[in-house]
Amino acid sequence: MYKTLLLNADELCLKGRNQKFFWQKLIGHIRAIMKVYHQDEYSLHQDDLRYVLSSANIPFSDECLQALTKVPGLHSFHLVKKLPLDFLAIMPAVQEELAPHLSSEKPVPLTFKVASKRSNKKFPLNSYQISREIGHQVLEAFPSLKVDVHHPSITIKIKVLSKGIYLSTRSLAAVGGLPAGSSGHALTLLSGGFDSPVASYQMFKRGLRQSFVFFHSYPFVGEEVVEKVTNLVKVLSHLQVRTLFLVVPFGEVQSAIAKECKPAYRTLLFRRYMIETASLLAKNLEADALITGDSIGQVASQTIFNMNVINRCTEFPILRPLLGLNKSEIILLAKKIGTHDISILPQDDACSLLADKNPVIKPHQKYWDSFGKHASEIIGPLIQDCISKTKTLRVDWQGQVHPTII
Amino acid sequence: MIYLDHAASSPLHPKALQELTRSFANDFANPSATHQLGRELNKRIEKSRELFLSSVQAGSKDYSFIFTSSATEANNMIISSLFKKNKVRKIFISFADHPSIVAPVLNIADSTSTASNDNQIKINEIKLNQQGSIDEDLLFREVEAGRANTIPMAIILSQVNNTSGVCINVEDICKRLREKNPSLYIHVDAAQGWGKVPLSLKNPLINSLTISAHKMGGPKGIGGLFFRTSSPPYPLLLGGDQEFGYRASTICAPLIFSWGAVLKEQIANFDSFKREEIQRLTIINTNLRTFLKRDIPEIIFPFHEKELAAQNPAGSYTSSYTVGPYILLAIIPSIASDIIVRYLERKEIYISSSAACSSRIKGENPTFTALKLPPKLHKNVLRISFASSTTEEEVQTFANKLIGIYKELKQFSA
Repeated sequence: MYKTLLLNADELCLKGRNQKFFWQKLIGHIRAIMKVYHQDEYSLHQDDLRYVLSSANIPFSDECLQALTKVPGLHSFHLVKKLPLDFLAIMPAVQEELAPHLSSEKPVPLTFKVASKRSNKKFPLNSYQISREIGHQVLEAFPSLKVDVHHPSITIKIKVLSKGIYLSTRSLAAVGGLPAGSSGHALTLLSGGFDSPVASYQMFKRGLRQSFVFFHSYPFVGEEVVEKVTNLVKVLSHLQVRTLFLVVPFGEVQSAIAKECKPAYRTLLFRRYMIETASLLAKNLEADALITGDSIGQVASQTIFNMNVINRCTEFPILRPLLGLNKSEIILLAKKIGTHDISILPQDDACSLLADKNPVIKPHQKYWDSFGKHASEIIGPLIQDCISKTKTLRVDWQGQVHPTII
Repeated sequence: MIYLDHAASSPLHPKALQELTRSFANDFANPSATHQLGRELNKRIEKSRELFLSSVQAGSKDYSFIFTSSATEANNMIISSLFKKNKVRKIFISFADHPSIVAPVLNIADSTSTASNDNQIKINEIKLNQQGSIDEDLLFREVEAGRANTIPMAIILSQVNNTSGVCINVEDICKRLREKNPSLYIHVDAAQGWGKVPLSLKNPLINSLTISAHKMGGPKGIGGLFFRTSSPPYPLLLGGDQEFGYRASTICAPLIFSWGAVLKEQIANFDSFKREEIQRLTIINTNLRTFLKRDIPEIIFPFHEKELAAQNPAGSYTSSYTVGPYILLAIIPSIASDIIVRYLERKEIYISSSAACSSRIKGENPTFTALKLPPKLHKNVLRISFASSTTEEEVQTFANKLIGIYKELKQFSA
């Protein structure tokens, strides 16, 4: 049970004079987490350039710690016991810290190393002396432990800073990268599959805060798929403070497209008009980019030729973080971020009735352009209609979904 | 709105709603109470009970009748009792029957599979023919074979199958089964058929019979069980003396009176009214099929177009198997049925379909398999069902809309 955390920001150190801007975004996210998950007073302050999050009275709950692991921009944080600036306070605390490690059913022999850092030059012992002395005392108190300075099972970290000694043996990894919102706002096209949620996560790491849009093909698909995608949004919503989720009724548009076009072009044209609609929505939302889960070659329609024509349908950059990933890598990531088990559920977001057996892989520019011109009279108004019927929802960290107005 | 899913449930008959409202407002006492309010209520409930018994000409010495929460509960009660009390160790069921029959039987078989031979229940499947009727050669052979051993046996029959619409002439089959094995326990589930298809317990051939209220315009939350007074079932619910000790639970008078109100309407007119209704709906059913076949040539009506249908004139339930007009199973092979249901619901027309289509679910439905429908068509099954309130006009509108939807969707398939 820990009342103090030592935070490690990730690429903040790269930002030089802009550190303040990034740090503010990071704090904003952390404060929002405290508001929801920590029912006590706390302080977020610096001690010798290290960021310390400390609770006044109650230790941070597991839920709270879990929430902190979902913060982009935070590399990791140590679970710390804060001690007074007194060498004699260290060993008793070390014994307390080591107890749970030893009582768990780990295979013996357990190894350890002491890593000390004394940045407070007023402290009588230097880093090397601290490590040597504590290491010696640990060996005496715990005969079953052995020292291994290369790959220890336990690392006893002792940081002597101005305001106290910070002791930790455990740390938790967070998302890393840049804080949410520090790189701007993007609109992410989510389907119910494995790819788009992983693409979203990859872009969260780079500091993009995101709004989500799902194109619902009712009545070609049922209504259960909306619930599935909503559950994906709930998982992703923990990576930022506020989440908007738009559900666009797209069945009419798809029906009209399918009636007018060559069957082989259906899937690609659906993509085209989804991107065009998403662009209109992005403008309203003041987003500056679109994010999709496109890969290359995963399915027949994902070719660079198709990507090319789609790119030309929008003025927004289409960010495709999964281009360089293999399917197996994407699946591993999906498991890591907790979307795999939702994506694997059988509610399809696309209907096999509309899918053509031989989707086009290299569209003819002439046909593509002429379709756009000729169909715009019919499809344009339908797109305006589906935008007006779009449901806008706010998704919060408790998994509550509320209708909202932008 | 056009509602054609009556096999799933039906709107409340106006008299039933009236009686329900009145009774919920006024009949609030506990019928088991010792004071006058309770006693009076109890008397009226017993009157209702008599009404139910007389509706099937059940002799008071032969049969008893209790109210349950549903047909599902009644089936569960009998099945559990067959195993516990009657020591039945061999049971005949059809996997095409309602889950409230199949599931409890499978459950007992499963939980006793590792027990000693004497404590295991073995399931014998009642196999069906392509037309939905029972393969009698096979069944009767096995029933007869079982008679030779002294293992207690039971058979569960559904008077009307809620998927295919096929009706069994219960009296006829039971007579013949009894000839093969007089001690065979026969339970009949009449949830779909009662109130539509004539059934009489005058001749005490059946051991127990389940009926349901909400499939005939009565309220949900109540069902009924007839059983031979000489061999009552073991109760499922313990903890009170209600229903003569066979079903503990505070009796819901309003549901009973509400159901009774519908029954009164039906009994008064059963013979003539029902025959007329059956004939009227048969014409509607036939016209619908003809009409749809013209514009949807690929549509199949697996149980309405085979020999069974041809042999039996409408309204005559005298032959062993008939296919009634109330339930119509249709299959459109090239389009998944859930899309059709969604297109129809946008027009406020409601029918039933197989579970949602998905590329990931293989979708083989054991009920459809038992009915001998090919696995690749399991995702294309539509069920349209009628009630006495169904009009020619509604069905015509439905047919036109269905054809329109079919034509629209047909454009999309390559």
